[in-house]
Amino acid sequence: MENDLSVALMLWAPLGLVFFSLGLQFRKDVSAQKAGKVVGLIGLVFFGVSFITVPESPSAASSALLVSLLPSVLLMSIGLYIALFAGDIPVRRFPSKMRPIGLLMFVGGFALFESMHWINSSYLPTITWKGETNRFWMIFRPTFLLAMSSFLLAGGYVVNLVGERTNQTSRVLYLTGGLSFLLLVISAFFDGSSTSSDEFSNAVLLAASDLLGFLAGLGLTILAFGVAIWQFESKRPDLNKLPPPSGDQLSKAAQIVQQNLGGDEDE
Amino acid sequence: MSNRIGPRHLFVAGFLFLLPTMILVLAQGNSGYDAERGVTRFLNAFLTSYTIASVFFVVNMFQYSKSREEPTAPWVSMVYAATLGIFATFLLTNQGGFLMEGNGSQRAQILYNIVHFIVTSSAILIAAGILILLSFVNLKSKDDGQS
Repeated sequence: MENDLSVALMLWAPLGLVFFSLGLQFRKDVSAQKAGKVVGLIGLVFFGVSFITVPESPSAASSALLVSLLPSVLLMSIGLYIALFAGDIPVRRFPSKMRPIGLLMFVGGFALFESMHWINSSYLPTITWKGETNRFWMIFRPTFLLAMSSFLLAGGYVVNLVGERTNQTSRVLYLTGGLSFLLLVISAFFDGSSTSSDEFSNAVLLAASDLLGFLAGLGLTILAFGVAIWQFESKRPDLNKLPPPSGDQLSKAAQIVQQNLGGDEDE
Repeated sequence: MSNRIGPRHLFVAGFLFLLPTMILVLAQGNSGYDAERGVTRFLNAFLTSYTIASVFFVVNMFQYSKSREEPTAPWVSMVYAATLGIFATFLLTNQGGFLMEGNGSQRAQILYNIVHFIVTSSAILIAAGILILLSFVNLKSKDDGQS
């Protein structure tokens, strides 16, 4: 009982705080949004260390994995961020010579993520938990690689349709998606440092079930709420049949326009 | 926009999205895959993502009701979501009872589903983030395209 209580307080309550903070981000009140960010950060930190505070909980393996993944995920995302804002865009934030460094950081992050599976070294973040392969690693890696290959292959095709001068983008997406798929296939045929190829190929198909179930559930939710919103929106009068705005509405609109007009320093 | 996206384009995009999964399923054949476990994982992922996404949308419907002056909107959408959720749960669990995955109790399975959802959704969100960032990283300016 005491054990259950400590798990509830050290793992589930912080996780609840993270969800609560996500909800607060949708409030218009800026102070509530700021408070939500602080609460979310506290929740994330407490959840992140739950593999130390409540190691007896089976769910604590997920926080151990989260901490192990942090270096590679941070390298990949910061690298792409730098490469994006060092590019030839109007809102450039970094000098253009930083672009190769950003791309190198992305490749390094991805290589670190993959080496966790293939190489058993004490210098690398661990994928083991209590002497065995972390069960959540066998969910995360196949889902990530499968989602990446699916998203990038479909994205490479769609990007070519919706934009101009996107051939290069499309090629890079196809290439990265193909590489991700190749890594999946290799993992399904060759043993990793702590997982067998049989285990992994089974995990890949289960990951496909997860991915499709996740997207189907999300799709049904969007459908249910879409119908509800459509029901309310269809009752509203057409734009040309609306009554003229009241004095209050006009002054509010003027206030919003005034807040958003500007740019004399840049122009 | 250079082209208009039609149903044929959506079909090809959907096919490309499912292509890696289809190749893996074909390559695997009948060797050792536990189909029953796969179905259980699909249903658990479906029900968990439906439940969590519904809670998320209901919270947003309160904002919608304020901005559009429709006070009944959250309650109506809640009824829709709950009815559909109960119907889907009944339909999916009717055949094989509660969808257990080697966990000792229903409470343990529900808690495991939540953690599983977090791990899966993190993997999917990171992959989607990489898609978005990679797409923008390779954008070329108009001048480059014309030269």
